[in-house]
Amino acid sequence: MTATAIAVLGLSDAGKSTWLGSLCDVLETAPAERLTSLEFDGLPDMFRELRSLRDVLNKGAYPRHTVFSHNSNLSFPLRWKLDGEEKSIILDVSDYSGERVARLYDKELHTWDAGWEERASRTRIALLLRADDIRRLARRTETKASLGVQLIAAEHLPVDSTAERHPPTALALIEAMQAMRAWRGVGVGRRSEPSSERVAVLLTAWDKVNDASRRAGPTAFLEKNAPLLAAWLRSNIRPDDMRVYGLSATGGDLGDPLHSKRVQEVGIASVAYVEMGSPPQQHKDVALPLEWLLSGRP
Amino acid sequence: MVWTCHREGCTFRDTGTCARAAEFSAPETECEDYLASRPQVPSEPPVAEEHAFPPWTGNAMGTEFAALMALSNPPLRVLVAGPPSSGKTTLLTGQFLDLDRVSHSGLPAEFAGSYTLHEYERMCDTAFRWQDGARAAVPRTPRGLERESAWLHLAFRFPTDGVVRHLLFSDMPGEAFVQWCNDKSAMPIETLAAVDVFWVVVDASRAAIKAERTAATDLLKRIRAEAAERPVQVILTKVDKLVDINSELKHKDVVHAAGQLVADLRRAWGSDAMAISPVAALPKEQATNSGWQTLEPIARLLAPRPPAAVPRRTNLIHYVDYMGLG
Repeated sequence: MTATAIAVLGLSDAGKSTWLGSLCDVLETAPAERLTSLEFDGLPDMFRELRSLRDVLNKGAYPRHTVFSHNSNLSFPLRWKLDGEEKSIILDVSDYSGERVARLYDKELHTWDAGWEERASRTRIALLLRADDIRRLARRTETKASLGVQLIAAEHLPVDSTAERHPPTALALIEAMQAMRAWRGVGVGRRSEPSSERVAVLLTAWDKVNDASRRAGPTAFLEKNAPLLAAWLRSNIRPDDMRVYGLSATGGDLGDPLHSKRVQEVGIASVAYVEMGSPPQQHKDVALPLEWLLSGRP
Repeated sequence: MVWTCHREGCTFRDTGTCARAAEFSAPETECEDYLASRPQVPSEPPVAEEHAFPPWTGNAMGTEFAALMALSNPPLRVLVAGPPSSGKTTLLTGQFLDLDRVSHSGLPAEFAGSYTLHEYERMCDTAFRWQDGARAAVPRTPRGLERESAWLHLAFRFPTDGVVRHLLFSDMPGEAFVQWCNDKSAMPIETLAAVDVFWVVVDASRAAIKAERTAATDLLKRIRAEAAERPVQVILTKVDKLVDINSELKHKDVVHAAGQLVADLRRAWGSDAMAISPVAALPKEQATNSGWQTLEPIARLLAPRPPAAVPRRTNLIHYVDYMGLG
């Protein structure tokens, strides 16, 4: 059996849990607009975690913050059919708790461990950034009251007291990608062979982006709001091997009672969507970035 | 991750229950058959790469930068020299902030990475807490710092040919340069030998103070003597304190003193054809995260052949002309 793994990388509150929950619903309910041929593979018990995320979303609420102590080796086996051939795929969310990315950046402890080495072997990466909370340089939390106000909105603070560090989004993601590539022997500024390394950037909470930015498309949004990361990606990843998506895993704000009620009625799979291109095209299938990471198409 | 066990009749993958539960309470870790059946994730062959770099801390680099020297395209090492509080660290901070300000920085090559991101963040974080006039924008580089042990790293990739240029910037305390001016042997020979380019950082806003002008010209003379054929670039910092960048001259007397400083520097250099870059790393408008001309010295480093002594050819605004830099 051949297998390919996709690493999901993102800081705390990047929207990984929410995406996984909506992904679960899409994979199971298969709405008519499905473009991908991905489905669950293997032990149903393994998907209990995903289904619990999905169930929370279908109740019109956001999943809770994933605590740092959460199982760090979550891998979901998927099956993928392409041109009559069936492949097994591993969706590796071992950085499920985003604090691991922050800790790698901080290097407070010896955070480069076997888990990171396994992740570093992945050459298909889904990179998640929350569009409405891209922390620029110097935006960080303070734990000492004497140092002044907290710069991160309270609702974004993780519940886990060990996870109070919010490094700048671009810097932490660049550091993680640099470390993973260095482990594979790829130096800074070096591009891999065509198709041998793919990165899908998912700008989550895309529904919260203003109309002008949405019309300009996800790539322009990334350029404007995370310029250092955009430049790093251009320098290190081939243009054909990188794609930027706007992702709304909930189709709107679940904090809005009307939208929350609608989700309870129709299910999360019916409202979730991804957008790509400029002007952006919208697709209901939130598994689309995975399919592109695997096949380079559509 | 769960996979199919090769042992005939195994039901673990589909039901979560091991048929040999009596033998294995946790088959996923105890059953040899199951463990041996683990699918091999084909890690695509690592790219043959001589440019990989061992793990780094993210902090300013010490001796570990020696590994960078082994690259086929070794880094350009820039000695950022200047009297105490002339704005050396602030300049480096402002440059990084400007790289993060706009996606296309206008440089001939694009940001490709850094092994000292954490150090840059620490510097930027402090700069953002700065209240104009209250205190220094960034903490002074401590005196006790080992002279060879603090280097900041940036890498740029040229889109035209894919060449990667590594840059290393020293972050040394100003006192080291004062000592060096008084005593030639105060600067380790190996440090000087390793330098490819010299930046001489001079605070333009203190040009009216004769002792400050003397300190700057003494340092330039010392560097002229040591640099030989290596490029030297003078960077006038804090020019926002001379003028309002966006409108009219504010303090003509201060600007006049800065013009005098430029004349002194040129005399010390022995030629009018000396590269001088006026910059404002953290101008008062710093809330917008925007510096002024901070990346110009880096653009010179990224030029195919960094000029040693080329007259400025830029369209700087009128006060630059006033200082004699036009």
